[in-house]
Formats: sequence, C-alpha cells, structure tokens
Amino acid sequence: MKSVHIYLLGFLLMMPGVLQAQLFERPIILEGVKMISPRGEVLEDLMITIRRGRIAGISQSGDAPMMSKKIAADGLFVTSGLVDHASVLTLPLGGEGAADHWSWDAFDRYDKEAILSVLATGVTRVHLVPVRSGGISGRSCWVSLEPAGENAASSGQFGVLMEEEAALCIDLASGSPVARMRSYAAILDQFSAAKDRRDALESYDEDLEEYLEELKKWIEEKAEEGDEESSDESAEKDEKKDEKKDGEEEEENKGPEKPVRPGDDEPSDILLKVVAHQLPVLITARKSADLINACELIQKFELDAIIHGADEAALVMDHLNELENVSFILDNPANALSASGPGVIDGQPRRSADLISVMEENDLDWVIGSGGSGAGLWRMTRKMAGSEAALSSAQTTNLRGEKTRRDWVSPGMRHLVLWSGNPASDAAARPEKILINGLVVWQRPAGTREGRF
Amino acid sequence: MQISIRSMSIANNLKMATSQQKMRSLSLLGMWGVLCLSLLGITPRGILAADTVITGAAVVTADGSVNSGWAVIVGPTGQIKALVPNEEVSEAFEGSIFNAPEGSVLTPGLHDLMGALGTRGQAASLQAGTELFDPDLDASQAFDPTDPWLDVAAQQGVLYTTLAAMPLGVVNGKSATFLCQTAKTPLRLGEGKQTMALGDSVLSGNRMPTSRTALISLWRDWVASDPEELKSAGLLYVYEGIDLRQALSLPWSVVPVFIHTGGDARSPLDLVSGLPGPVHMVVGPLLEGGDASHLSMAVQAASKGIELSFAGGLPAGPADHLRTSAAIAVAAGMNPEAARRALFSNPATVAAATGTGVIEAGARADLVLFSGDPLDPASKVIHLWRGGEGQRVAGTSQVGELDTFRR
Repeated sequence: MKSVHIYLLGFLLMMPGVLQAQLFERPIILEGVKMISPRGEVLEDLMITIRRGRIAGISQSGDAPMMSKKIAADGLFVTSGLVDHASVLTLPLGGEGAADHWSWDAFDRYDKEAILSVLATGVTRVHLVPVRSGGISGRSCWVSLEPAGENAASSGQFGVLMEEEAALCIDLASGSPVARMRSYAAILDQFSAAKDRRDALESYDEDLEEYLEELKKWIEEKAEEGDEESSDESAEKDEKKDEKKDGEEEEENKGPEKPVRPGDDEPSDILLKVVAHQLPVLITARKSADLINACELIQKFELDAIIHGADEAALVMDHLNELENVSFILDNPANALSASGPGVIDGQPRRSADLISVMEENDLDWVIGSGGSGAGLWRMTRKMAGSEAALSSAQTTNLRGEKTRRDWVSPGMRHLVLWSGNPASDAAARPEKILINGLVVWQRPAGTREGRF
Repeated sequence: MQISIRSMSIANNLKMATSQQKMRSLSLLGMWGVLCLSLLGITPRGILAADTVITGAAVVTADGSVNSGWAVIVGPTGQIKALVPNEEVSEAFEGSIFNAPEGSVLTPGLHDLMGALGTRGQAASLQAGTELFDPDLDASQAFDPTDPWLDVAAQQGVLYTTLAAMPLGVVNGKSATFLCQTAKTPLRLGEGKQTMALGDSVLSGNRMPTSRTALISLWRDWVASDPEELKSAGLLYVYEGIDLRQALSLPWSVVPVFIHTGGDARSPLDLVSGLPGPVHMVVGPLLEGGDASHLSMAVQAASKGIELSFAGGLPAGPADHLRTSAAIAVAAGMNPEAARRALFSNPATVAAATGTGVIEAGARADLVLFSGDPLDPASKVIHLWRGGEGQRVAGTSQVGELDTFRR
C-alpha cells in the first residue's frame, strides 16, 4: 500500500499540471443562488460549481467539494454575462476608415474606468464595431472584458480577443444624403475592383503562358525580318521606313505586352474574403433609401450580411424579405424629440415604435446592440424588447445570420452575472458580482449603494 | 354561577335580537339612502355620475411610493376629487369607469424643467438682454402655445414645461410653467419663481462683472441690501461645484432651489444637507454614457436627504430622457422613491406650479397611465389625462384590455 502511495506521489510530481489542478485550483462554489430557466421559471437554492473557470455542475442539493472556495451569492440571481452586439467601448469615432483597419487595434485595454463601468452593468462580452464617417469602416472583433495580461488579476489590462475577425463593417448611414450616395458608389467600386483583381490573379498564369507563346512568335518573326533586311532590297525599305513617323516605328518593333501580376493589396484581399463568404459584412443602414442600398449591395455580391440599425425596416420590408440568411442588430439611438415629427422634413429616421414586432412578424432574426459603450445596454434591451423578452434577447450570442442561440446558464459557461433581484421581472435588479473564468472581476462596492451602473 | 351564565346568555340573545333588528333597519335605511342618492346622481363616497373613476392601476403618491388598491376619482371640473379603495367603487356606478390593465401605474404628469419645450425649438428665445438685475423679465413671453412639440411630449407623459430665462444676469426674472397641450391659448400653472445665477454664465466682456471675484463681491452687496427677490425661495443657477460652494457662503434668509445641471458638486453636499428645511436641487439630465461624477453627485445628494428634480431638455433631448435620468440614477444606487419624487412631485414644488405633481384631492387631474413602473424603461405610456380629459396613447394592439373602458 505504501508503495502505491509512493508511485502515486511520483506520478503527480511528474505531471505538474495535474498536481496543480488537483491541489491548487480549488473549485469555486456559488451556493444558494437562483436561476431563471428558459421557460421563465425561477429555480431556487442552487449550487453552481466552477472548475478551471467554467461551470462544471449545477445542482439543487449536494455538498460542496473538499477544499472548495465559496463566493457569497446566497439569494442572488445568476444569469450569463450580457452580450453587447454593437459596442464602441473605448474606440475613437469618426475619420477615414478602410477594410484593413481593425477595431482591436483601437481598443484601449487600459481604460479601466470605462471598462469597469460597462462590466458593472452586467455586460461581459462586446462586439467592437469601428465607427467612421461613412463607407468601409474596418473589421470588427469580439472581446471578452476579462482582466488580461500575464498576471491578469493585477495587470490593469482588460480585454481578451474571442473572435479576431467578426465582420467587415460598412456605414451607409452617416452624412448627408449626397454623402451617403457617394459612399455607396465608392463601396460598389471597391468591391468591383476587388473582384477584377481576383479575376486578374486567377488568369495571371494563363495570361503568362499566352504571353510567352506570343513572345516566341514575335521573336521568330523578327528573326525572319532580320534575314530579309540583309538582302539587296533592304536599302529601299530603309528609305521608306525613314519616312515613317517615330511612333509607328516603335509600335512595329514592340513585342507582346507582358501581363502584370496584381500586387499585394490587403484591403482588397479582405473584400475578397467577404465575397468568398469567409467574412460577413455588418452594414449600418437606418433610413429606407440606405436599407435599399444595403439590400442591393448584399444581393449584387451575394454577401453574408448583418444589418445594423434598420430603423425604417418596416417601410422596406419587401426588400428585406428578399434577402436570404440576414440578421439584424437593433439599437435605440437617443434622438432629439424635435429631430422627427410635425414640421420636420428631413430629420432622424422614421423609426416604428414596434420594430421588434415587425421583425418577428417577418421572421427576421434580430438582436440588440447598444451602439455606444454598452453601459446602457440592459436599459435599452428592456425598453426595446419589453420586460418579458429582455433577458433572452440580452443573452443571445449568435450573429451569423443563423437562428439565434440562447445563452442560458449551463455547464461550460465562463461568464456569469449575479443580480440583486430577478432581472426578468424586477426593473430595479442590479448586478452585484461579475465572474469571468471563476474570477470576480467586478463587485458592487461594499457599504454603499452607489455603484457604477 | 349557572344562573348568572344563563341570564347573560338570555341577555346576550336579547341584545343580539335587538342589534339584528337595528342592523335590518339600518340596512333598509342604507338601501333607501343609496337609492335616493342614485336618483340624485350621487353614489357612496360622493362619486357623482359625471365623475370618471380610474381603477385597477397602482398609484404613485407624493412620497414617491407606488400603492396599489386605490381608485382615483376625477371630477367634471378636471380636478381629482378623491382616492378611494378599489372595492368601494361599485359596479352599480353609472359614470365613467376606466379599468386600467393589470400591472399598470398611474402617475402625475412628468415635468420638463428648464428646457425649451414650448418655444418651437427656439431655445435662443429664452436669451435675456444684458441687464444684470432684471426681476421684471417673464419667461412666459417666450412660450408659444401652438408649438406642436407640446402634444408630442405629452404622448411621452410629459405634461408640464417650465421655462426660465438663460442665466446671463444675476437676476433673470420669473420662470413660467405651462400645461403641455398644443392649443391657441396657453394654460399657465402658478406664478413662477424668480431665477438667479451665480456662475461663469453671468460674466461678460461687455459689462460688469467681468471676473468671478467681482461677481461674488456684487452678490454679497446685493444680498446685504435685503432685496425683495430674496424674501421668497427662488431658483439659483449654480452650474459648477465652486458656484454652489460660494453660494452657500452667502447669508440666505430663504434657501433657494439650487439648479446644478451638469457639474460635480460632491464636495459641498454636506453643507447643502445641513441647511434648514427640505433643500431642493435640480440635477441632470442624466444621459447614457454621460458624466459619471454628476451622476454620483446626484445619488449622494439624494442619500443625504436633498430633494432632487431631474432637469429637462426638450425638445432637443430624447423624448423619454426624464425617465431615462431616473432609471440611470436608480441603477447607480438612488432610492426608487426619491427618483419618483424627482420625476413628479419635486418639480412641481421647484416650479411653484400649484396643484400639479401629485395625485391627491384638489390637484389637477393631469395623469399618465404607464404599463408598469415609470422607472422601468420597459414601461410605455398607454393613456393620459390633461385636466381630466383622457386620451389613448398606446396602439390598440398594446391596450386590448383597455377595451373595458366604458362610458
């Protein structure tokens, strides 16, 4: 028996990873939590076990594992971390955009205050959408707002890339109507140029072979001409040639044109990825005319698309219904009361009050994105989706034009929010703690009611 | 012992028989009374056939709490007559009964303070001249009752607008509060309050004072002269924390309402809360992604017992910005009752708009029916009353239950 223990100890010492996991990575326990089921039922007195940052088990009864670490959560409601499908958290806004611009490059992972203020609202994952002054803005990415860096807990950095390239972002909604028309025309040109470039690349080898054959023929012809020139009649010909203009002479001597291989062009390559269905496009379009342009663009280049905004979708539903496999990110911009309504000719988009109902009636897939930093996402979601559907729509994660996936608390999940009340029914419910990878990344300051939410 | 018990029981039986007889005669009398009152058009609790009774909704009271089980009786003159328990509203009542949907909440009208609602979006019309002391100025001169945004705002539950001249002088004349109703003639509510300012907005290169030091000196001299304008509570613009601190160093006989709409006055809050009586402060509007320090200041002020009101900003702001301000404040830790007071009852006090901002007997029947708690962004306006005159707001698909409304 003693020898077995020695062998076991030896084995564990040889496998430091296993030893560390068994001895030092203590399971984390959330005891006495409440959960809302997808059917809306409240399940009480649950115990959630987290191992290696992920939920390992959810049970209604049971003893906490040995050496487990308990996080005070008694009576709190647990949901998955909220997802902001269109965030500009810490990103600079405006200026010129391009396909090779990337929102991750502009993300300020050291802006602790801004990131914590968003975490405090329950948002743990953001889709960072670059916002420029119209046209192609750049590529978006998905970021988990967890502490980052080598020593994550104390590095002061936040944000880990979850998906490097989420979509190519195109803005058809910014600027005056004329500016928007120009933007749209420029985008069409850019896509057409990219396709031409792709065609040129594909036919380059063939063109090169043809060129070599033509060159060979040309050299042979020239060689024959050279033989003739050596005869007696060459003098007469020379006289005639002298009479010809210099340009014509050059053309006759010019051989076949060598095909040029298209050079490196990263923005164009990205557009080609989009055309090849390797990357979806996220088109921001709000007014009816812009939405029709978006539909044309999607159909012309057969793009996988997500439409962001779609305020006037109800007016152009026949166009939108023609699209296949498209999803929508809806938001609720804080427009001025006086920007639309009586006496306003060209103001803000004519947003229908029941936009979500219209989407549902037409079987169009939608999610909600804040369009801002994300701090107001939960309020926006309640406002737009209503209190009953708010939680399910806030927890939706899939954007790729497929049917949305509901992200309810389940084994394997890493992002958790512990709420003071039932977020599905209690408007005053607020996040108390945010857990990512088993780490409490934010909690409401003790001894005070003032939080960052 | 047995005898005594028996006699008591006989006596009790006799008493019971007597009381039953009394009850019968009383109930007969009551029935006759109800019949007579019904013939006269009067029902119990003084409900007249011409009245409208709103039942089924929880009611926001002056303290900011939400109370269910009450019916609001609105008289034909457009005033609230009484609040009675729901069960006292008899089915036999032949007047108008408005059965509100389950979960709905009845509130006073929202109040857009210090905005430009009613000026047809011409905020510049509230710009006064270069007079430093202009107590005769009246902001009502800038009000245009035909402004279409008044009705648009009302659809969002905003039933009052208070205008005030821009704080460019020390004394800027009286504020003016109006009912939000696009009409030929305005309906002014209350006399308004004198508006004053202590801050950089008063400084000018064209006239005195040109510096803050001069401004403070000027204020001290003016306060020492015991002016008429300071004998009643006015509205004092103190945009920055330093403005508020310096204002508090002045010897106030009557504490004004502090209008602190954007800066960070966290440090002088203790001084404010130490002033006698309920101190009122106008803050905000609080915006998504707005100034975190101002939000924190508002939450701290409420926790220190300062009565807050949320400033308006219509028509330049979003239509629901008042409720958004409240929702943001509650999420940041403000007590929900304090937030509701900041939306409804406190602005009425700040603007001296008598008979508004509360649901109680004698107040104007300017009411808004929300589908839920007004602090919840998911709640929608489904019906409103202005002076007792009802108007459906939500679409028919949203208010199927309101078909129980009968007249």
